[in-house]
Amino acid sequence: MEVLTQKTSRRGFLKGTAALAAAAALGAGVSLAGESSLALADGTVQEDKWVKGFCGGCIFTNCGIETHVVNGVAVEVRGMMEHPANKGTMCPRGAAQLMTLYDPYRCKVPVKRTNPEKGLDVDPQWQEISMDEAKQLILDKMDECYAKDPRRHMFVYGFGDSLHEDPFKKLYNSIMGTPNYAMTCGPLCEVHHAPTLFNNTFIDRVDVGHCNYLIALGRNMGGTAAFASGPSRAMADAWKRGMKTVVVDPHCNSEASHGEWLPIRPGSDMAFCMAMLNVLLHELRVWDEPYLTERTNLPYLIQEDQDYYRNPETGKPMMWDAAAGVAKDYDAEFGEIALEGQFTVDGTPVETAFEKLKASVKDSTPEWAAEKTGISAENIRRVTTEFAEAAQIGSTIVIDGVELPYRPVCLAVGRGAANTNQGQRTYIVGDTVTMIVGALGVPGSVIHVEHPKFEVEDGVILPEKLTPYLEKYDAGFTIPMNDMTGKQFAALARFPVLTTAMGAIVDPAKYYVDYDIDVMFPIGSNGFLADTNRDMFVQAFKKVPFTFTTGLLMDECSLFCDVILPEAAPMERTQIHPIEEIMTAGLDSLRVQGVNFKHSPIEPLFETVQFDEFVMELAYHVGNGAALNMATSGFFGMMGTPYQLDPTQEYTYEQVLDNYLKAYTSTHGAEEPYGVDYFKEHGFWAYTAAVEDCYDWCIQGVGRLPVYDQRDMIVGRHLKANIEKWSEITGQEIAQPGWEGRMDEVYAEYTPVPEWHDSWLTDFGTDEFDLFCVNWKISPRILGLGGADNNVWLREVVEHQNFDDLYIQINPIAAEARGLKDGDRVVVESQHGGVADGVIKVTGLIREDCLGFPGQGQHVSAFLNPAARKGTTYNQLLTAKDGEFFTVSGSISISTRVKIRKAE
Amino acid sequence: MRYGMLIDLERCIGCNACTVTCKQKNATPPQTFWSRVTTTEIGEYPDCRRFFLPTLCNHCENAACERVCPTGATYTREDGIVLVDKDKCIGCRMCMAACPYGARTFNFGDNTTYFPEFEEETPYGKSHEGAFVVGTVSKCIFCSDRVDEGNPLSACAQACPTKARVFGDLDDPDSEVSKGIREMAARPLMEEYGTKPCVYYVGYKGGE
Repeated sequence: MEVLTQKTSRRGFLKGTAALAAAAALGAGVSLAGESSLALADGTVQEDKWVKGFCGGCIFTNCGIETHVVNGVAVEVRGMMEHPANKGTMCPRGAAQLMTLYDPYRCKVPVKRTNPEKGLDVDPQWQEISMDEAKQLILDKMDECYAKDPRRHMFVYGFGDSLHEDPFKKLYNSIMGTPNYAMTCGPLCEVHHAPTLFNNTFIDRVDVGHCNYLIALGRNMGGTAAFASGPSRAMADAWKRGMKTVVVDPHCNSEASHGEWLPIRPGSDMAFCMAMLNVLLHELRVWDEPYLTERTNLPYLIQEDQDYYRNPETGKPMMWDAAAGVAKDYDAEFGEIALEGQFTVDGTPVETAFEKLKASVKDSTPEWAAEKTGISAENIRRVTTEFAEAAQIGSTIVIDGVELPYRPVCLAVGRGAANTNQGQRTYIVGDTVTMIVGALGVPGSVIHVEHPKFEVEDGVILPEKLTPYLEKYDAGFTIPMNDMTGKQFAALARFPVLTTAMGAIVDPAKYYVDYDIDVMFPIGSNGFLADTNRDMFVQAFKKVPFTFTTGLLMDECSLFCDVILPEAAPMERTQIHPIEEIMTAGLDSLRVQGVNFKHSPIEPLFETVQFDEFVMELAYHVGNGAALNMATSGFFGMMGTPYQLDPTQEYTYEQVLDNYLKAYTSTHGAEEPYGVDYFKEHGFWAYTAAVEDCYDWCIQGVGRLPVYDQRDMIVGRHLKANIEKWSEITGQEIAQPGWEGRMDEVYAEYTPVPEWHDSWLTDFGTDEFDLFCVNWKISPRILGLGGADNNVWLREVVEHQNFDDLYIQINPIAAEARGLKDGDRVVVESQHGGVADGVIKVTGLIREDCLGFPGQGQHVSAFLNPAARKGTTYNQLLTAKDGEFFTVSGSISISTRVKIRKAE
Repeated sequence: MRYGMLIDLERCIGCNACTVTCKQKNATPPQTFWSRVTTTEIGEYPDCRRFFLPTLCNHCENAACERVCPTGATYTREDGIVLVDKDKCIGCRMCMAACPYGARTFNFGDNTTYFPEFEEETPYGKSHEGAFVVGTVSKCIFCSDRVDEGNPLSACAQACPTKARVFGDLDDPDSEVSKGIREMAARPLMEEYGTKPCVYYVGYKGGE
């Protein structure tokens, strides 16, 4: 228990069921450092100030806040009125930050474990040590590791530590020279591939300020999870203006409650999108002809093998000139580009990509989709027709003097749809619906966030040119594998494949790896709770000889560490974050750009470290200072400016931020370079972006959008070629682990047009698993980050004030059919072997074939607040097993099929 | 001068930002909520939805709580804000029985800290010591402390991420709150009790 106490009491760790009482026992003797300076004996006020900063309770921390400090104690937090993003508002997570700062369960002193045995219910027998000793232990182990092979060091990160604030989580591997990393936050975040293809942005956002008809497909638009930086306000403004919201989701959320709810069966979202395409292309025959002809690759001629038909002489893709009656290179002069039609070019039968797209959805009628989605054909037709009419194809709008196409409709795909089988493709098909009516990248629809980054090859806009990308991919594909990320098999992965990373630690040979991991550094990640296979995490973390972390709380991950450095609370950190609305933009947030800064409003409560400072210390120690400084300069856009970091020098993190802030402000129109001193006083600096910088339409005219997804199809063919090549070289049958003998299923996922594939998720009605489980973000808890699970104010709201509380939600029809009633204790078993237990709440706000798990919780670490241990273990119902995750990306399904029974 | 509030239910998403903001600004004890959101389910599947109803003390012009208070602990300021003087409150709870809105909470003294398992209160908790007295009744103060500091904007109204709340002077016909009430035909809850509540709602259809 030493980790929890400033004055160590050396209490023992209680095992088994008694462990639940351990945390309460820890309280005796606990003393918080610095308390003598907090309350003055005579009650006078010696210090009374408001300190500006930004929030730490979110993934993308846009909101400016002010902290009221009286006599050294932070007594209140409020939104910053002058901040252009949140305009003085806060969400419940932001409002609750003081209970994370002053959480008595925080790690307060550096410790090392003295018990070599590791496990979730094993006493680490922590020993309090000095900060110097703790750091030296880590540095010595790193030295030993790097002397052998830097690849034997693995970095693991997640959302728990405010992922998007600092540069070093993304740069860690390039700085430290190891290719091995894992992300506990990646497998349930399958929302980046389509935005990268079509909006050239890592994440897209919806311009609801100009939208009149919004279909949210498994996507939280900012209302349900309550984002105060603009999305919640934007949605409310849009509703008051008359925007219609259609929420296609298994559960009725707050956004559906302000619009229309279409309860959809989990895993069938792509069928819904394909049916919309069917209605648009075959029944209504509605599309934006100029947009598709001039701005997409749909007029490209496709040959029988689904690849572009290329001019044999120039190698360029071709289009059909209807006026001349001949095929021409895509960049030639055209009389009239043909969007539809079959042709013969030099004896080769070809047809336009648009014809391929139309053919792919010819049979996906509303009736076909109704069987899969549970949404009536009538409703699918009605919604599609309303969508097409609201698109106002051909109309334009002038915003601040800039004339743009106006398509005030959007089909917004989110995690709930994209994190089901074929989810990556679902997002692509959803965006295709939007693109068919010409709506992508224009006012009222789905647009980019950060400035689009793209290349043009074959006249098509791509995240990067395909030819050099494939050269790199082929060169990196080796057996044995160089790294444990699994990306060489999951060829469209945005993140490491967690199952491969953890699996390769446990059994390297199974994953074509020929070395072990010696030192692991997890930060803000807790796969024991966040991911689906707790046993695998236990095995992996037990096997790694040395694990260290900078820890805010003694969570499950910390339990497996050998050394823990107590970490600054989010409010205590010196940090920056771009101001940029990333989800849902309103009229008053669309053009807001800038940067936030924060520093601790109070003296740090304990002798803590900040992750960023410690990474710099590590890098300088192992001799990677030059790599650190150069990578940081590149990440922060400081290269070539007077503020570029000197590769030969050592910096503090605050010095790095000072350089960054000066570089940023001086290159974005500030009157003078503003450094840390300016930001300590003001908290942020912002400017209004040009209209042209907000809409893809203004930027992407140099190429065509890859609606016909030839890019991913070709990547899949290279995957196949590489596997065949290495099978031949090694003389063994190489396969993506888990898909041995099923590689045809893998290759079949790399399709250029929609193609429905049944799966274990959609195989409904074939066995006893007759329900689906689903979960969703709730306003007091998103992704469990920022210490929310241990925050007493937020857990109190979850337990007592929120409709989405700790109960398992079941529809009255499902409950009655199974003889269940409100308050019954139940056991839920999944088709993959996972089990969860809890108490049910009967409500019509969930589909009749689903169970809803809104308030994830049920931590098992005895060192956390008892409130964090309530709830259900939803993620353990899911699967990340080889052969069951999404082969193309390594992501996992957020839903699975389950059965329910009354607990005995 | 009479402070009041407009709550637009057509904007509310039931996020409880108001609930937590109030809690941290006023350091209310566990299970004491001066401001809260009640979420109910209306309609029948699949034609159903959530209905969010944020509630707080209505700072009634004709406050029933004040009329029944035997010690004068509950009183109305000149600006219309209804307060409880905890030094005068004897804990009889007549006011709780009289309030049609259930806006008051009695401090039984059995739930005074969020960390009963620790010997010491957090520095935050210590800094707010004395704010709540066992055996007395408490309720929303319409952020009278902020009003007195020259910042007439309640913490909940400031925090609301959808700007569903407007705080201001009902006696000023040009105030944002008065204009909002007028233009959107806002009405208070349970007017029939005759307490002349000062919190108005848009989008409340009754019975929901």
